Amino acid sequence: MNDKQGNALVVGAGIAGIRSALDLAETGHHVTLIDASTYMGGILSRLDYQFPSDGCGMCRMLPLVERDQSAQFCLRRGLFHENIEVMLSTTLESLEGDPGNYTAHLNRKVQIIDPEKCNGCGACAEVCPVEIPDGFNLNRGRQKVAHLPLPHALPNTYTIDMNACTRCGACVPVCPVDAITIPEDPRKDFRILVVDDELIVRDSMKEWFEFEGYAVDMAESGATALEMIPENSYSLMFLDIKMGQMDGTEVLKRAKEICPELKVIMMTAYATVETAVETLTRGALEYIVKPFEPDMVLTKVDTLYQDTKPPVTTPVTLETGTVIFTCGTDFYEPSTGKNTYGHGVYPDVVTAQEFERIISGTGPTGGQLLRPSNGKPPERIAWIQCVGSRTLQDGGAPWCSSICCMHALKEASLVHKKFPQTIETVIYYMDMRCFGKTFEDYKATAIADHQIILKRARPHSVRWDDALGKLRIFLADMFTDKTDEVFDMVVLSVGVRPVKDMSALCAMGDIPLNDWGFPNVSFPGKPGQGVFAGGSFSGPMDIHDTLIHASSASLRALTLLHNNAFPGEDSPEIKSVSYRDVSMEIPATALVLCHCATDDNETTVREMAASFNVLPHVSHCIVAKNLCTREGWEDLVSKILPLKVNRVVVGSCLPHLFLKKIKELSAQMHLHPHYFDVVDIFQTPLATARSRVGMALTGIRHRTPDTTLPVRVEKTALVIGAGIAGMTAALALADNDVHVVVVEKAQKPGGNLLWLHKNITGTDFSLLAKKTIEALNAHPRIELITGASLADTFGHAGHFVSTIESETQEVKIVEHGVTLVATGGNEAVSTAMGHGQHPSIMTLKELEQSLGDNPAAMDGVDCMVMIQCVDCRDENKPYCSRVCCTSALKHALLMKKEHPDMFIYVLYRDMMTPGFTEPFFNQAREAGIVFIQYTLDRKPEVRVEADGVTVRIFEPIIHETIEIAPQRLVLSTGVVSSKPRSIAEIAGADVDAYGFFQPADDKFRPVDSIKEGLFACGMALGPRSVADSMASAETAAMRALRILNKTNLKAATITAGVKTTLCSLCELCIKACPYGARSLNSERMVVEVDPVMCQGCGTCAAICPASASFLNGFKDRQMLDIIDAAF
Amino acid sequence: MITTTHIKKLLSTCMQCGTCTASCPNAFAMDMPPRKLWRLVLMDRTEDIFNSTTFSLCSTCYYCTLRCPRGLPLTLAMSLLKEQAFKAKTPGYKNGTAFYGSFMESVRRHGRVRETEFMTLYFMAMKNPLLPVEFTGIGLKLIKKQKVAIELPSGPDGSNLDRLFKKVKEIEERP
Repeated sequence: MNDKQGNALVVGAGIAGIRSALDLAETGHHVTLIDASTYMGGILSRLDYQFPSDGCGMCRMLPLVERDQSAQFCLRRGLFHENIEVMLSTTLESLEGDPGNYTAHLNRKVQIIDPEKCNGCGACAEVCPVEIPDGFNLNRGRQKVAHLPLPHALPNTYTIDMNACTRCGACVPVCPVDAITIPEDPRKDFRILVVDDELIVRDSMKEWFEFEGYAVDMAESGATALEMIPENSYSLMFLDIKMGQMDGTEVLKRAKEICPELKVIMMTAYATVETAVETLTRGALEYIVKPFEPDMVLTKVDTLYQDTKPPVTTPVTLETGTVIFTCGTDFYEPSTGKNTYGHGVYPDVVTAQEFERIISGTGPTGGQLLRPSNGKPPERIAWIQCVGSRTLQDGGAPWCSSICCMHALKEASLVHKKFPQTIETVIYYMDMRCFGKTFEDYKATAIADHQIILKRARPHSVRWDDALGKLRIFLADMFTDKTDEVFDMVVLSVGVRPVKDMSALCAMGDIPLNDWGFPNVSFPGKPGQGVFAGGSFSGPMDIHDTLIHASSASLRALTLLHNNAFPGEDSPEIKSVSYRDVSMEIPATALVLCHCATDDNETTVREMAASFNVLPHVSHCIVAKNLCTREGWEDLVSKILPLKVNRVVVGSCLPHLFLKKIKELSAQMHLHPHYFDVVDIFQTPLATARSRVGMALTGIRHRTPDTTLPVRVEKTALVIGAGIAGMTAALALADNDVHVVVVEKAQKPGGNLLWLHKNITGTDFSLLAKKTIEALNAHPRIELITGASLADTFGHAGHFVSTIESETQEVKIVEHGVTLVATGGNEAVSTAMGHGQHPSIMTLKELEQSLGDNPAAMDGVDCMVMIQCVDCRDENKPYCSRVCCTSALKHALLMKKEHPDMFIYVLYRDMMTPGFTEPFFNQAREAGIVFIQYTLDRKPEVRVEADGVTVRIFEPIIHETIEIAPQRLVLSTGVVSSKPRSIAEIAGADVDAYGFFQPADDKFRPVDSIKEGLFACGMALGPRSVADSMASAETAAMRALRILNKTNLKAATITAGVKTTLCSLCELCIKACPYGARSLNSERMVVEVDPVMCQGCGTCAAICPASASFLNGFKDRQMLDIIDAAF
Repeated sequence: MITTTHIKKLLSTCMQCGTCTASCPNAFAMDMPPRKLWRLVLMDRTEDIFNSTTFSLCSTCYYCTLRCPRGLPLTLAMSLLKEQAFKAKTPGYKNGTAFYGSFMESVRRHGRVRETEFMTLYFMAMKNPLLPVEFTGIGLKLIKKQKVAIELPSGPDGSNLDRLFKKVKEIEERP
């Protein structure tokens, strides 16, 4: 095994796997990232656009500190990190050992095309004669058997699908780099014995099977066959029943005695069918009736062959401390079951995932939106929600898939944005679940700006209207009872399913499954675990939650590695490689231009080389051949090493192929990678290629050495807020040897946990609070300061200085490396719906508190009404508070359990019960709780009189206004942020429009501030449940540990600086810097740039009126010269 | 005593999606669509339920049961409503009571239905002299196509199902 053998194994290289792998890699651990597929990226590789930006932001997951450790380009194309080894086409077969010390047995598919050699030229695909359905595009469109598994991957190497390959060998000679080795056909090892006394049957069967490549023997009698069986290892025997001396039944019996695992297919004429059926009980696999068609027999043989065929894989054994499962999710297959929507029957009925491919630029139509049935643009498209979710039929999937509502809104918005705006888009839904902080706003925009029509109805079936050539959907909506509508395309929002091998994987890792076949991930984590589940593998969730749960899993894995003394290492760059100082040398560049051995481009390349050789700073010009091959590269290395050069520019095709090679060469030459550049000279016209080389040569001439000094990291964290999120984060950090200071404004820790009793699943919150507070108090590395708040903070990632003010103690100064904001949220105060006018009207929190204080609180109450979304999802609080629906259900269910005769009405707009809370919604209905939906224009009316409260509500199904006189009216008033504005501002965080912490990116950096070193968790980020708060706390701790696990932080090569002599201190750059990396040093009166926080975006350089701000690697003089060189 | 509590239990997980209404081939003739009927059941509005003729128009095609995403036994629920209405002889279900009663009476007498007898019994039960006129058109059509034989009502013959009917009644009356 190579020296990069993992400290951690991450199974599944989708977005969650990438997150977990990067988390551990950034803390210095070696990670092996495997995926069964031939490409990385999982589900996201098929999604070109993600809401809310309707773009892609995956690259925002890339490392921000020590950026140079990882290639900094599009993450959808590939992941390159020094500490991560990616193994594709690899599966986990078994796992042995204990937490901290596992042996993983992997199976890696044999690569027919060597990915190390393949240069992605595509010659093999051009000559390949066999076409198969395009798997990446979900079988829409066709591709060759030799194909690119992912159209946008880098480096993009071809693969051959061996299940469909005919082994014609056409691709082998055309490959310019000899990367293809087609293995011998294993069919010849599949031996078939045909036993029949009729020569004609034996001969023709032998001929058919041999044509397909199988090895065939014949026997004319049972006795001969029985002699042959022990001598040869047969995989399959065809056996005639009616034969002369010994009949088939007898042969079968004896053959099974000799070789019990031999598969036998009986052959019979009509007369002996009964006998044949009988043989099935004696071990025959099946029988075929003579005469038979060759195709029928061959299909049977092929199926058996596929089952028994030896795996084309190489076993790999890996020692690893921990394993993380991030295998993602499967989707419901709508063509199974009753299929009333006709998926697979009508071409214009597609799933949401298929639709995503249809509108993709790399999709089957190249990004044009066309109806699959006739290739014409559609005029009306319908989305049908909850297909295979929230269903009790067809095997049952009672959960909500959580992602489909936003997915449908995004797809419909994209249609309006990218295609003719005349296309009408309609979404049919039962509850529109926009439960994330920004989701409601996205929905409002979709309706207002993108004219998406939302209709509350459930179409029951789709049928093809032959006369119109369109699809007709049948439904009952809220206004006309029974109706149908005509559409050109119907998109099914199919629900998620546990991945295929879920139970096998979870059994391997000792992870319990919940009632629905997903892993049961507990918060807090159970001790003694070594295998963790993360991301959408553990339940239906969107990208935001997937990343949080992936990082939560990696935190647990990191803690385990820490406890088992696997120290994370500082990056090798700081540790070992020392580069030569070339700052005082005259630029001497080696220009390397490559040409192919197969093409006649050598003359062009030589001419170009000659023209650049005259430049003063080009000291050597090397014309190389086939750099993409190992020999070509080694030849170059041997030529370049003796040269006295301090810059290298390579012109070739496919520059991305050289990323790794350049790093190696840089180490060999002791020259910083910063002094290397690779440009593409073949994929463009000659003139462009010439300017590119010129620009690269000029650019590299101006490169100056990297002078930023590493910053020492203060291994202390400041956590503001000691609710469940703050406490969880503090404990997680302290368990990783970090000193933690927790500041809580109340007199004791616990936050909202102090008044909550239980959650809907029955988790005892009082116990959780008690245990967590005890652990917090007992931890030697945690310092808790209550009754205190943050007064001031300054500094940068790795070293902040904060002032803590407290009522009792004196002012305290804390030096810390990171800040975690866990200021939490509270229930909103409201006077709507008569709150405050009558003692029987209370909020959810007041109800919970009243029950806790007094068990007889509900005596005399025989009717209770609960109103959801009071002052929520409207102009007061334009976001969903996420916890209220579940909380209301919890109380309603508890109440119904204790008082079965109580009438309970829940008045709701959309029940926000995503994921596994949906089954409780169902339970509540089963328990007899009545749910009545209302809309914003017909809100419930509450009348308060001396003798009681009356609620009037319009019931849309019965279509009349009903009046209820409850003895208890419970209002869900939603969640507001606990005034973090001041705290967040002091800490330097941005606050969003709703008063919550503004993350750097809603999806891809869910807990980070744009300012490095500052994180948030729990309700400070937005409303969320206790479990979700704990997950986000673990994520924030994980993010913090990337910094805290390092002794020093090394800045990236490309960072900004200030020429103080030119600076007029206008401070425009300080305001412009999105990362908060700039500050005014008021003692020295200069603007300073924090090299660790600076992400090299260049905004400061652009805004500076005096050109005093500059970006290393992009200085003014350099850029002007580069522009000159371009022409 | 007329009650729908046992039916309510069967339907408790209904989410008012309207699949039943949209699937029902007889919905056009109903005074309220099935979804509304089930909503009334869930809200214990017994009077409104039995004032409606919706359930009497169910032709037991099972479309709604097949398609209901909650897997509810809707066709069974329709039958249970019919049963309740039949037992309680609700005025709204008079038509249905007479119709099914006459049908079963003919079956009891002969072991099969005799169409003309069945209709004559029905007309007598309805006590509406104008009712036969309404059916004259379709009756003549059926006779012309030899779908209906003209037979006068007669008493039970040799093939009567008296014993079977008695046994059923006995079973039904068991506590």
